[in-house]
Amino acid sequence: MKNLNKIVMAVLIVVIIINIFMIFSNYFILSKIKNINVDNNIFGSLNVSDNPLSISGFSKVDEITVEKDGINLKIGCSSVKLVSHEYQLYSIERGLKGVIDIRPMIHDNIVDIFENYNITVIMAKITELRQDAYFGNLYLRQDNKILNIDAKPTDLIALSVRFKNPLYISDSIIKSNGVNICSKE
Amino acid sequence: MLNKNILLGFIIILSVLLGIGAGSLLFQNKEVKDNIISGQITRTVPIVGVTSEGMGVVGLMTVEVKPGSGLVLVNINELLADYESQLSARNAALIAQNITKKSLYNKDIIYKLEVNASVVSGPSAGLAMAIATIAALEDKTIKDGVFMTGAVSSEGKITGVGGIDKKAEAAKSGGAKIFVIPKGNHIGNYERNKNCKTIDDFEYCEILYLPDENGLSKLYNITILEAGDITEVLSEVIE
Repeated sequence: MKNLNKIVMAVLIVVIIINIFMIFSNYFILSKIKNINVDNNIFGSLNVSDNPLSISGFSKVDEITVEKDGINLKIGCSSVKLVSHEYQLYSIERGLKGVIDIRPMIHDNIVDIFENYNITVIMAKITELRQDAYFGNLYLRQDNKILNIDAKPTDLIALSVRFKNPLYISDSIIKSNGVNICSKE
Repeated sequence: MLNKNILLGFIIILSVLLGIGAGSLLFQNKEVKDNIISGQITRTVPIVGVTSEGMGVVGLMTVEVKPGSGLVLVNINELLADYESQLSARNAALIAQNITKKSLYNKDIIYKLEVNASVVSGPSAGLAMAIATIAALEDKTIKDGVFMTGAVSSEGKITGVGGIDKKAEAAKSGGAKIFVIPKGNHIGNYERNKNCKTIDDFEYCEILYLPDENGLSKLYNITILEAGDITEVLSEVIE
């Protein structure tokens, strides 16, 4: 009888350990799935590879800062620098500060148009670096219409700082052009 | 019986003599072939570049193959060539050796660039250097009106370079009929493409700016030949 109790106890302990392991692994998997689609209410029936709103292979930009000759995108412990000209840098800086000059920038006017026509920015993605040029996409929604526009990353950044929409950058760009800022500190 | 032996001996001696004769003829023929390469051979091709002011310019690149000790040289009498230009020269010689299967250990290869600039920088003359060297080693000519630009790796892969549209414009003004460029390297000519479809209850549209592959051809009225590997263009540019 004593032996039976011991066996039951041992089995219970094993089951508890397995359950704890399952809970953690499920949490890990779920947290990954949650990050695959930027908005689960749109294109929910599609799998990751077919879903235009999939953010698999992308990381969210945590912080945008403007320097004299470019923009720094901070993603976790990485930083990616995009070189740009003065006009774009000025517009991004104005957007970050939430300030409009005596005359609006084109990005301020785009905000006016989008707001007037009830267009929301779902997200922006910086997708690739090809022959020294960065490529990206802007995802817009108006009611049940979704529009994906091929756009310059500096414009995407200038709009993202105004709309405060999520901005993602391809992991391959981070890998090839990112600088580890944590190890420097 | 004696006669038979004499006859057999005669036939054997004759065969040996014929063998030696044939062998020496082959050897002489080889010497003749080697003599083609042992003399000095030059090939000149037009090259295109972009000045620091952003203007497309046409120049000339001459390769000289002559007896030597396996040196690859870039003639800098007229102008200075940077590290990438020198690396291009080395890659071009290596590719030519691999493609023609002709050893360069007893030859010197000298590249001379003539352009309206004081400094030549970048790897974009690499393709022209490689093609000209192959033509020289095989004693063939480069087709008239062929202009080319592109960097080349030591394995013969053609990789992208900058200023393609300016170079195409310069090539056209220099009389180009065919302009060889690296595959997918036609920056500057993109077309707006809009596609819509229904997904779930949403109308999903994409507006993408895609490269217009015939853009340069249309713009400058020349045949654009895109290539990712040097072997893809040999028959198109050498005759």
